[in-house]
Amino acid sequence: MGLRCARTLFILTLDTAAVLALAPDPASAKAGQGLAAARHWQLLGQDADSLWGLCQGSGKDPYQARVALADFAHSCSCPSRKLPCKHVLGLMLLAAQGNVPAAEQPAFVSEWLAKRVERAEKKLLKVEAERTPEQLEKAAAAAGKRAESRSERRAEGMAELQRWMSDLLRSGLGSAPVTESSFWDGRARRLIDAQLPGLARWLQRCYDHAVKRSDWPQAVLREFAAITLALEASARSDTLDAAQRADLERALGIPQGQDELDAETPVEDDFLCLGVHVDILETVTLQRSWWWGGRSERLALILSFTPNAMPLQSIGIPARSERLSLAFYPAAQPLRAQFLTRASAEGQVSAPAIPVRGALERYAQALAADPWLDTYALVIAGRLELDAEQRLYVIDADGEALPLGPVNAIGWRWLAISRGADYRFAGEWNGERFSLLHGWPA
Amino acid sequence: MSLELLARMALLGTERAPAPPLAAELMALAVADDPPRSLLRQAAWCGLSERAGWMPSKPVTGMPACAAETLPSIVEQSAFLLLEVLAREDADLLRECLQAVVAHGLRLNERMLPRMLGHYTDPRQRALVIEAGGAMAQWLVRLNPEWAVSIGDGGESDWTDGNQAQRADFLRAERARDPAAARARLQPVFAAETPAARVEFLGAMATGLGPDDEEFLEAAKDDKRKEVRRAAIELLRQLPQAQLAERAWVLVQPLLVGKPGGWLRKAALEVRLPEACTPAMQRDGIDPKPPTHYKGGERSFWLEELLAQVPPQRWAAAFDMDAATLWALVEKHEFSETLRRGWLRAAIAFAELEWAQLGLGQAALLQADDQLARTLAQRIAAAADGERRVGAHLRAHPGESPDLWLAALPSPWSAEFSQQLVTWLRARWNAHAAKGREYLMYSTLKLAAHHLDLTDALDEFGWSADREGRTQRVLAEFFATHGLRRSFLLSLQQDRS
Repeated sequence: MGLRCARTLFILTLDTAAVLALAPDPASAKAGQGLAAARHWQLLGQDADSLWGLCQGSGKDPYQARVALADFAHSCSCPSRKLPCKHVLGLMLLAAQGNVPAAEQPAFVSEWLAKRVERAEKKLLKVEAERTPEQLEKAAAAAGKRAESRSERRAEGMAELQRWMSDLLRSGLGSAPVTESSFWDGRARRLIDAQLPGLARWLQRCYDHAVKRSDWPQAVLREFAAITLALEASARSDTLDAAQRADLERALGIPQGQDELDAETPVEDDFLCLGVHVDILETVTLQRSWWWGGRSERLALILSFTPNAMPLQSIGIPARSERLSLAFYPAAQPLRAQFLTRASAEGQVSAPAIPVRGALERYAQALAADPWLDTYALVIAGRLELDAEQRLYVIDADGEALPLGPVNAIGWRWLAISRGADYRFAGEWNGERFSLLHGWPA
Repeated sequence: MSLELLARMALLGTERAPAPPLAAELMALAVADDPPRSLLRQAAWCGLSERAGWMPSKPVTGMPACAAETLPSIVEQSAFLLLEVLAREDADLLRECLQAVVAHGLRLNERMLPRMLGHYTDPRQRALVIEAGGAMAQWLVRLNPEWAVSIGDGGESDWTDGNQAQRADFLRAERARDPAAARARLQPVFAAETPAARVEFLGAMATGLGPDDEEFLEAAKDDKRKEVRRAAIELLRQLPQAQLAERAWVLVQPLLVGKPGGWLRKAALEVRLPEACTPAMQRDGIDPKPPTHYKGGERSFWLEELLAQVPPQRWAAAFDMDAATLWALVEKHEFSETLRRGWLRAAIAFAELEWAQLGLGQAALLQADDQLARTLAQRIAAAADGERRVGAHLRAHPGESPDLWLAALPSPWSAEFSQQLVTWLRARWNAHAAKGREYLMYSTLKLAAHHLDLTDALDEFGWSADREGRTQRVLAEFFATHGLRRSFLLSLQQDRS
């Protein structure tokens, strides 16, 4: 009976594939699977909030593995630097299989949960340490000076970039060494030095276009177009309102601090995670999770950058609803946000699917608000279809479609899951191509 | 459209390219005396309006619909275990699991199908995934021709239109049902087939082989190609009543003289070697020159070849001695090597298991010739009472590696045999462990983990596991692999309600 109870508590929200997706590397996933058998555990249990187990490792005392079910935060007393460790993975896999009985929370779990709440509260109430007025003044002056020197460097960087682009176009892209990565990288590095990493990003893409695409002059010009918009807007930044300026700063890559967050008016709602995109870059791993608020009908984007040596934090599990309190960054149409709190949702939010045309209109609106918008999550009501050249499309009832490009492993997977039937597909649209994130039966 | 014009200009350079004709709102963005900047501003406008005004595509697709599934999917638990099997990259284990899915009247769940289809490159293995994948697998294979495996449907068209492997499969199946019909089908076209196909079809003739096939095989024995002749002779050598055996008997009988023992007289076996390799012998597949690695002279080689063509029981009958006595005579004989090999090969060909088993005492021989030993093991293990015979052999030769024999047994092993084997393995393991030589058992444990019966979980107690590192891992892996097989099987049998 305990078994059945555990199933209803947990298995609805998490399947084994999702747990394995949390593993930091394949070795951990395998080790976790090895521990996903009750015989490795001395104590196993779960309740509405948490999941725990004691696992005998090579140490004297068994390791204490625990998971908070609200956001899958986890902790284990083992010394592993991989997070989640194999014990936590094993524990979650056991739970996903429905093999963890309901039980009373032991002390090592309740204490941990209490500490977590305390820490979260402290973070929210992050108060400025008390300082004397003189100290404050001094600090403000120094900050002002630093800001001034930074904006000077940026202005120089932008002027230089403008000259470089003009020169390049005057003599023609055709006579430049566009297929040498150093040509683009060198320029991009100068932009990063000039504190303009956002502009550098567009330049870095140009190399890819030049070597991979037959229509590369157009593709390169598109990236130049975005840069030009940013340069022109910077030149007239005094005519922009605060929200537009925030969008521009994001485009330039000026870091947005926590203090710019609109924490005054947080949006609280049950949000559905539409999907998570993970990009492993040279030194950091970028995670994007997209959320849809059931009552607020708001789309939110959570970004997380993690140095590659560090463990990834879960910023959402596709198709899982959570009760979120979000603080949005200022923008003409606020999209990017940060978690203030995460908890279990009251109910499951359903994915808001619309036909292709409507979805494209939404994208156009978002683009009108932020012309530098890179990707935007859409949920399309339609089915997946292949054309004769093995290119995949999501097609709505009107026969209108978004292209997904040549079918890849993710495409095959969703073709199989949806069986070619009507479905709701969440994905990222970049103006050219739709990348699948997740799907739900229609 | 405008972006394309602008791109052309960007490619050539504003110095050389003339300004393209643009719409009025784009012209308004131009900056006087600064063509590059004008170009950038116009591109910025175009790029943005292009993205914002993107029109939905109307692709031409014509995808077939996926048929409804007739079989229930495996449960989540099974799918999870299968993921672990996949992660282990253990092809044997995966094959067993897939076969079990089919045998239980279930199908793989669709979520993992594309990955599994991509995982296998061997068409036969992929065919198994497709078989276990229900309607969804058929559908995916239609959509992605790269995954397609030309598996025949077993019908007449396999023979007329199929590729070589399919035709051989068809022939094999027909041989199992009706050997004469299959032979009649092959006979008229045989000579016109390619040499490779002739060899493969002769291989298929091994199924349901009988005295009626002799005429056909005798004809194939005179084929132009050596490999075809060899294949035909291989089969003829398995027919105890065939003319081939008769001809060899006539030649070899005078060369061996057995003298039964009696009062004050030891049994003896006199052996003479053949004088020559006659053209008749050569036609029956005996090479005048022994293979390069052959240890011994050409005359002893001819004798071995002749012996290999005669059912060994004939000797027992001719000399009025039982097999055991004959083997005992061979033990220290001048030509022991030749006699042993010849008789063992004959025992394999004519499936005379008692004779073969007696010869098994000749451990030195088995070590010397892997191929012969493997064939012998397969012959014995494949017999109806193969497990009993293998068990007896293992008990009689505890020093020998059991891998060869165990690998030849049909999988999975019976519960009774498995139980005895585990006890035997544990004893051996502990004995080796006492000397720090568990490594001698690594491959055996791996083999056993894959084939032991699944009724009961393995008892992990009583196995000496003092050593750290690899030894402990091998032992853990042994239990884990067996446990995984068992869990998977149990998960398939789970109450589906």
